[in-house]
Amino acid sequence: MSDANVYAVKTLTSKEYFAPGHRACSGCGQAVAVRMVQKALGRNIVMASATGCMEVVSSPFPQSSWEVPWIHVAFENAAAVASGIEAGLKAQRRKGKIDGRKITVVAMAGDGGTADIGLQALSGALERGHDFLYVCYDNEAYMNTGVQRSSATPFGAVTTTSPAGRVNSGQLTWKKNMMRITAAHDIPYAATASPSHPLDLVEKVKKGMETEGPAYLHVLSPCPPGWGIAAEDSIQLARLAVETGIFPLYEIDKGKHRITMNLEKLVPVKQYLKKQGRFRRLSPEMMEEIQERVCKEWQELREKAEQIDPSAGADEALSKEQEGETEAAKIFRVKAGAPV
Amino acid sequence: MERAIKEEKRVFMTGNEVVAWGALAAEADIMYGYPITPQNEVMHYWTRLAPKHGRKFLQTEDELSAGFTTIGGVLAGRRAFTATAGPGNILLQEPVSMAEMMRLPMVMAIMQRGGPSTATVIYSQQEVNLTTSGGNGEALRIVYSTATHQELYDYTIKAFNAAWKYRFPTFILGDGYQAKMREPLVMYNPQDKGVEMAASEPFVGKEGKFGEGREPAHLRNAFSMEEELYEVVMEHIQDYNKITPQIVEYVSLGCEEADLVIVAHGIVSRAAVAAQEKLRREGYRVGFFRPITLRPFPVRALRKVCKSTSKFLVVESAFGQLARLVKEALFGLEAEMDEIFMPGLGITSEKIIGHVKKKSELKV
Repeated sequence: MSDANVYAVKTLTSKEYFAPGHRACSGCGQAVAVRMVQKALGRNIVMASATGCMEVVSSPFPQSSWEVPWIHVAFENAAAVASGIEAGLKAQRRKGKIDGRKITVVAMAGDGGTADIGLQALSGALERGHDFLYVCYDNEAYMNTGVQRSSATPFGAVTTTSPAGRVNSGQLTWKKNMMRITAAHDIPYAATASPSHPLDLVEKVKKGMETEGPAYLHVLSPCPPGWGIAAEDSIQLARLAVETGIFPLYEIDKGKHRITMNLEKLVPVKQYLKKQGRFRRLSPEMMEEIQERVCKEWQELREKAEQIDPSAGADEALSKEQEGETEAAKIFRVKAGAPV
Repeated sequence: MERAIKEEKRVFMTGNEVVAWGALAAEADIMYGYPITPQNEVMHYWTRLAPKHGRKFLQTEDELSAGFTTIGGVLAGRRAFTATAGPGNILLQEPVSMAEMMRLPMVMAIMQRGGPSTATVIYSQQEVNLTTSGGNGEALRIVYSTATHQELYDYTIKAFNAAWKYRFPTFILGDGYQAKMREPLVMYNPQDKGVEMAASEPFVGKEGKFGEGREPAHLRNAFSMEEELYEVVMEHIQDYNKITPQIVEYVSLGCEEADLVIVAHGIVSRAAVAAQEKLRREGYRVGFFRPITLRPFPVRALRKVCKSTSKFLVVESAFGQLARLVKEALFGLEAEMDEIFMPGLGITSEKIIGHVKKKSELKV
C-alpha cells in the first residue's frame, strides 16, 4: 500500500480545484491535504469554511484559490452553515428548481473550529443527520492567531499559551479524541487521514461523499512554524505520526472499526517527537508516558477493529443472560409487564 | 500578595504587554482567555508573567466560556479578567449581561478590530455600541476608552478597582493600534502612588455560617415575576446613577471660548487634540472634548460645553457610534453636528484640520 501511495497522485484528476498561488507557508501540510481532498471531491460541491489558516491564505480578495463554490462565514459555524446549505439544496430540489444530480455539501475547519468553538455546531449537524462531509484539518493548535493551544494540542507540546517553564513543559492535557466524539453520534462514516498517505486519503474522501448522512474526516496537517519543523519535513512527520501509532489511520464505517494502514510494529514515538521544536522540553518521563498511552490506544483500536462480527458478541451476551439475569434486566422485565 | 512592580520604571512596550502588566499591578489573580487577534499577546505575556508572580491562566474553548469562567473566578473572590476583540466581544456579551444583573465585578480588555469581518484585525472603533450597550439589560457597565499606553496601564488598574468597588462589569476599551504598537510609559506600583485598592471577596463559600455573624449569600439570575425583576433592575439603576458622578471622566480643552468643538475618544482623540492645538495656533477658535468613560457618558460636562459652543465635529473610526452617544447626551439642546466617520480607518490630525478649514466658515 505504501508503495502505491507514491503513485497515488497520478491516479487523481490533473484538474486543480484548489489553485496554486495561495499564501500558505512553505511546507504547509494542510495545503497539501486540501489540494488532494479537493481533487477527490471534484467540481460538484458546495463548501462552507470556518475561520482559520486555510481561509486566510486561500482567499485574500480579489484572489481566491477556490475553483468551487466556497463560502467563509465565521469561526464557530462551518457545520451550521453546511447544514443550512444542505437543507436549502434539498428544498430547491423538492421544488424542482435544480436538477436531481448529486451536489456534495462539504464543511471544513481547523482543530480549533472543530474541537473547541465549533463543537456545538458540529454536534448539532451530526445529530440532525444532514447529508454532508465535514473535514477537520488538524494542525494541533491555533496557528492562525499565533500558535495558542487548542483541545487538539497533544500532551507536552509547547504553544504560546502552554509555554514551557520551570514547572511545566507545555500542554498538560491529552488531545481530545474527535473520532470517538463524532462516532458517538452514530454517524454512518468517520475516518482519519493523513497527507502522507494520499491513496488512503482520497479513498476516504470518496467514501465520505458517497455516504448518505453525515460523514466526518479528520486530517492531520503538520505545520512547520507551529510545530517547529523544517518545511521539507512536514510530510515525513505526517508519515511518522501514522507509523508511531500517534495518529493511526482508520475508519468507522457504520459502527465497524477498520484500520486502513496496518502496522506490524509501532515506530518508537521518540523518533516523531524529537524532530519537533514544540516537544524540545519534553522530559524522558513524559516521553515514556506518551509512549505508554500510544501503545494502549493502539491496542484498544486493534481490539475494536478485530471485533468485526457484532453478532458474535451478541451470542456471548445471550448465553450470559441465560446463566444469570442481571438486576437491571430483571427490573426492566418487571416494568415491561413480562413474566418474571 | 507580592508586588509585581518593585519600583517605578520607564518602559517601551506594546499595548497588549501593558495590559498584562497593568493587570499584574492591579493584583489580578487569574486571566481567562481565548485566541483572537489583536489581543492574543495579552495572553502570551500573561502566561509568561503569571507563574512568576503566583497568578493563574486558563484557556477556554470560546469567548462565551471565557466570560463565564471569569464570572466563576469572580464568584470565588478572585480578581479575574479576560481580553478579547471583535467577534469575541459579541460572544462575551452574554456573560456581561449576567454580570450586570448579578453585580459581578468582571473586568475585560477589548482591542477593537474592523468588522463585521474575520480578517480585518488591525484597527477600528466599531465596538463602541457593543461595548457600551451590547447586552440584553440596561447596560449597567463601566467603559474606559484609552488613548495612550500610559492610560492603558492606568485604566487597567482603575478598572479592577472600579469593578470591585462599585460591583459593575468594567471594560478597558482599546484598539488594534494600541494593542500592537510600542510606546513608552511609566509603570509603577499603584499602592506607592496612593491608589486605593478595592478589596475583593468571595461571593460564594464565604467564611463562617450564615445567620451567625453574616448574611446568607443569595445570588440570583432567575426571577419568576416581572414585578420582582423590575424592583431589582430599578435598584441597580439607582445605584448606577448614584455612582456616575464619581466614575465619569473626560478631557475638555478650550471649549469655553470656541466656535467649534471637536469630539473624539480613544486613539483618535490624539489626532483630534493635535488638530485642535494647530488650529488654535493658526487663530481658529476650536475646542476639544474627549469622553474617557463612554459609559457612563459625561453628559453633564458635554451639555455645559454646548451652552457656550453649540457646534460640534464628531471624529471617529466608526459610523456614528460615538456620535450616537453625543446626540443622546445633548438631547433637547440646540446643537449643530458635523462628522468625520471612517469605519475601520485611522484618522490623522491633517485630515481633521483639512476638514475644519474646508467645511467651516470659521475665520482667522
